[in-house]
Amino acid sequence: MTLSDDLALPLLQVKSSIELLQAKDFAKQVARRHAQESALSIDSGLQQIEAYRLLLGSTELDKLPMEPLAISALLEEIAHKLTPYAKQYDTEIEVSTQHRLAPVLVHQPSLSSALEVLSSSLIRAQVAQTEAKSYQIVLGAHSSPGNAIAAGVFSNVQGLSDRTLRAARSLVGRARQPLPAVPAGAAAGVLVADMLCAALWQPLRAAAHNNLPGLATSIPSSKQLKFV
Amino acid sequence: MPRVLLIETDRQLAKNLQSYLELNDFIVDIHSDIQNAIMSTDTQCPDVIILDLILAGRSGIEFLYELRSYPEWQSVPVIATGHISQDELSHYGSAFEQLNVSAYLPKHSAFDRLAGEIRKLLQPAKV
Repeated sequence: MTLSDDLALPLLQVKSSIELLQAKDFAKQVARRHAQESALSIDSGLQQIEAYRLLLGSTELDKLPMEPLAISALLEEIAHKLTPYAKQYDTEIEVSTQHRLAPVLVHQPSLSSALEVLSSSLIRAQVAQTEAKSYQIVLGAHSSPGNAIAAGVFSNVQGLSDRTLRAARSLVGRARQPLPAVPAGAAAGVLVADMLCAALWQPLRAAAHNNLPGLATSIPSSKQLKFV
Repeated sequence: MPRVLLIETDRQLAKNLQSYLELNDFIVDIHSDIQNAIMSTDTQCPDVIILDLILAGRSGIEFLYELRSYPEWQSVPVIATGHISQDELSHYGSAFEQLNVSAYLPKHSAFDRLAGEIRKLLQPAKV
C-alpha cells in the first residue's frame, strides 16, 4: 500500500506539471523548469523501483559482488546526485563524516540505493511536517562500537524512533501510513531502505550525528582493507 | 477573486496546483500542516478549502473536526482529496456527511475537474 502511494507521487508530480503546461502558453524558461522538475520526479520514482529491485535480489547475498568502499566518497556522490531534487524542496544537503573512517566491504549499488531513497524520502517528509523557508539534511557517517561504521541520514524529521520503526515493520503491507508522522509518499522509501539495510548489514536505527537526529545503518568496517 | 486554501503534503504538487488555479483567477494559499492551515483559515478567510486526507502526523479528518468546531467555519466548502478506494470511501461516507464535506476527488483528478468543482461550489455567489 505505501509503496504504491510512493510510486504514485512522482507520477502525479509529472502529470500535474504537464497539465499546468497545457493550461497556458508559458515562456520557454518556465516550460524548461517544469520539464526539469518532471525529470527529477521520474528519477525519484526510478530510484524507488531500483531500491525495491535490489531488495528482491538481496536474498542471494553470496552472489552479490562486494567491493571496498570509502563511505565519505559515497555520501558525497549521493549528495551531489540529490542536490537538484533537494532544491525543489528548499533543502540543502550537507555531508559530514568523521575523519579517517576505515573502508567497508559492501555491495555498493545496494548501499548507495538505500541511502539515496532514504534521503529523498526524508527530504519530502521534513517539508511536509514543518513549514519553514529552508531545510537541511545531513548525510553522515561515524565510527560506532564493534568495529563498525554508522552511516545514515539526519534531519529534523519528527517521529522516527526505534519504537515507531518496529511498529512500522509489523504494519508493512497492511497500513496506509505505517509511519504515522511521515506522509504517504515518503514512508515506503524509509521502509524499503530499512529492509535493504537489514538484508545486507543491519536494519535502520534511530541515531544522532552532531546532535541531529536521524536514521542510520551499521556497516562492519574492514581492518584488512584499512592496511591495503 | 475567490480564495482557496490548499492543504497538501507534497510541495511540488501543491505549487503546480497553485499555479494552475492562479491562472484561473483564484488566489491560493498553501499549507502542509494542520496548525498553520487553521491559522491561515482565520487570517485569510478562504472561500473553499482543498484538503489532502492523509497528512503527516495528523489526518485531514482531524483538521475537519477542528475546523468545524468553530461556528464561523461550519459552512465553508471543503473538497477532500486522496488515494482512497471505493470501499474505504464508503467508510468515510458518514464522517464526510457529518463534517459537511462538499466533494471527494481522487488525487489524480485533472486540474480542470478540480477547478470546475470549485466553481460549482462557489456559484452563484462568487463566480
